[in-house]
Amino acid sequence: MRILIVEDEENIADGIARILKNNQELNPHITISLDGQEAIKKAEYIHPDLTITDIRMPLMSGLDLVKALKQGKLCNKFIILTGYDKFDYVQTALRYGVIDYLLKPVDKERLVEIVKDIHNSLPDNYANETSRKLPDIPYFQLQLNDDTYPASLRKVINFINRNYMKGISLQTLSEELLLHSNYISMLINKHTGISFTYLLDYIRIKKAAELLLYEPDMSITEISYLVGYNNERRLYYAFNNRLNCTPGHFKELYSK
Amino acid sequence: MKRAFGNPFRTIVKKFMDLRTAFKLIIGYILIIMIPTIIIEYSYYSQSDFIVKERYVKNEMDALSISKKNFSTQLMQIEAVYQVFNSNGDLKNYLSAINEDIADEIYSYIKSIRPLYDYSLLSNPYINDIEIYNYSKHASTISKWIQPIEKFDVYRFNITDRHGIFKGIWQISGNEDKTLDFSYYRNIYSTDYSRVLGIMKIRVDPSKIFNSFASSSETIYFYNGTGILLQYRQGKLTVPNTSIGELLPKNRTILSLPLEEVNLTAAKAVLYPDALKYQKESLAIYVLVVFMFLSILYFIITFSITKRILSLSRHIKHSTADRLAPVTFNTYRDEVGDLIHSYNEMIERINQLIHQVYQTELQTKDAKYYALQAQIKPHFLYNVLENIRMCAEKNGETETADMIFSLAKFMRYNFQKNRNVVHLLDELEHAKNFLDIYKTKLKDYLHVEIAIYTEIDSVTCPFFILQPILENTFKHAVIPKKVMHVLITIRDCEEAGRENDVRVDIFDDGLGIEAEVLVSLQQSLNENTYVSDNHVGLENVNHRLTSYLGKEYHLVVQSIPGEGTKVTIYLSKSK
Repeated sequence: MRILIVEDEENIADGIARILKNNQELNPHITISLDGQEAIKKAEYIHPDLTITDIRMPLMSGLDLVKALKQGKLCNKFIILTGYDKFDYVQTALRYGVIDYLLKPVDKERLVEIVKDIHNSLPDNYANETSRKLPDIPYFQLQLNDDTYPASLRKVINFINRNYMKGISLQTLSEELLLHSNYISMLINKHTGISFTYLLDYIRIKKAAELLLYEPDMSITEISYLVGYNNERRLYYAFNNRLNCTPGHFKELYSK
Repeated sequence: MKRAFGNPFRTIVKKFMDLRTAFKLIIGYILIIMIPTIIIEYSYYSQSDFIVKERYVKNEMDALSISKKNFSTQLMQIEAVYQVFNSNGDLKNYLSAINEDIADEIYSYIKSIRPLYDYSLLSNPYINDIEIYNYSKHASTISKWIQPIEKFDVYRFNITDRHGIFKGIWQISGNEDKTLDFSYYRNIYSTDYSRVLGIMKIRVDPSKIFNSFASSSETIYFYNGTGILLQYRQGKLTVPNTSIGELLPKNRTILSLPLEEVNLTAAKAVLYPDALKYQKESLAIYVLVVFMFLSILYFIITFSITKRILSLSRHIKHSTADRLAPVTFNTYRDEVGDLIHSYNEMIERINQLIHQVYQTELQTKDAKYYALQAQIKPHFLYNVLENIRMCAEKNGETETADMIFSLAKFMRYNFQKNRNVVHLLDELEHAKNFLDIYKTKLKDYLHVEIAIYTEIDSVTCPFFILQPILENTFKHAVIPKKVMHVLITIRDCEEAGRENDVRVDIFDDGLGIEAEVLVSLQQSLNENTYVSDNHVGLENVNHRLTSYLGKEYHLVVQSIPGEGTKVTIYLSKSK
């Protein structure tokens, strides 16, 4: 994924680049530009998938840049990152078809989340994602995107979906979402019929299964880190517990 | 004692001074115009009535006197007839019977006496009859009107009257047949006045002779002490049957005038003519007109002063602090006009000052605001903070970066303009940032937990309600070098009648609040008043909560000294 960051403050540009690079899944190719005109020149070479730009910059404003890039068909997706929450800025940005308007201080998680969404919606990635079909066994039949779920439960599931690769516990969920841990357990149990650990394992195992089947070069240790178990043994234990087989066995059984 | 005496007077004065101006004017009108005018007009009226009557009576009296004079003149004319007879020698000779021969007597009678008699009767219409009673016994009686003295009814006269006959006397008497006998009696003397030859009686027609009094329209009565009473009315002389006392009304003014020649008194009752009554009425109208004129004048003069004062007073009463309008009605250049003018000037000045103060305040506010903006320039600040944060991020100093992130978010939330209502979630997130910042300061001495037990996505609350409560906690509850826990829970409200509400409880295990302070605090929260200086933050939050959601959504504070405090906020799910 090619990302163009346009920001006159070098520190901030670097920081954002760092945040995005830290996310293993994205694996972005980042170009930094310190003003709008330079950004247009660079865009002509790299044709970025996404441009993240400030509004107030010397020589050219971020909004003018968006307009220019869009008219030049150099880039189609934009995120505005600014200190201003002026209404007319937001309005203009929305008119130009900007995907999101983020205020400084930028929320790292939110930024990553949006970039990830954009990443997944790119044609090649999208094809990738959808082609990754899991074996048709009862365990994977669980559906977690039900509109009847209360907002907080959807938030919980969303959060786990985005952060399963990290060390998640009820505690971290509670701290992050301000919901009490008991209330989270209750919510999950009440609406899905499963426990929090089951849910977490389910999401991680699903991801691990994807990786096992479609990323044949990855080692099981690597996968255990990517899905948040952080060591091979815990992955084994989870597979054994939930699917009654080892990851290796699973790979052998279902890979074509 | 002195005081007790002085008080009633003072109360009366005070009561008068307290009266409304209109009442004062009416009292002034009664005292200054009505009563004096009525008294003066009445006295003038009664006096003029008296004068007019007196003048009328005098006129009447004069008229009566003139009538009397005419009457006397007529009497004198009749008396003059006697002189003619008394100076006639032939008559004297006849009476003294000087002529021996009867033929001579007849001759003398026919030649001079009879023509004298005829002439006198003809020339004087008042005279009815002339008779001479002759003392001489010799005298012949060839004529009827000269008779012997024996025929003279001397008893008609009393003694004094009999002497009067020498000088001449008027005698009035009633006859048996109710006719009046009004006659002049006088002796006829011999040529040398040594002997009385006879008595001459000249009988006059009473109704004719009293015509002198015909000018009076009123009935005139003539009377004397001997019981003679005559009534003269419209040329007719009659003898009434009653006494004079009954004829003259007692309640009327009586005019009387003695007629010395005939020993009678003329009397009449004054009857004031209608003209006098009209005069009275016109006087009454005049009085009324003057009274009205004075009243109108009084009201014009007083109203020229008071009307504007009253209008001014009303105007001032109606003008409020934020609407000071100058007086617009016509003003003249007297003291009242000056007063109104001064008032207008004052109002203008006040308005100017208000405007000035208002403007100044506005400008100061603007200036302060711009100064604040210039100093802080939020956007500049966020950029700097973001710069530092990203620097930390680059260097892998995640903790520092997160701290700066909390600070920047905290500031962004607080710098928001024109936000009155926010989502509870935003408010909680802000509280979390605030607590995070505090945590960098208090480190392990502060434990913070926010726990939501219900769905609050749609719950809203007034902007900036949690931070003041938390600030209050850190200001009052922190015990140095002792770990404090702050717990914020959000639950469905299970109290009866509050099923549609959520409650936000903010617990701390700090110092707690003393009982008395707590009571007064809770009272001020219940009644939504600002009482204490220490809890301005809480009271402000309470005020905004209750004005947003209603009275029953006031803060509830519970505390046990030494154990901790719980502040409860109720919020409606449906608002």
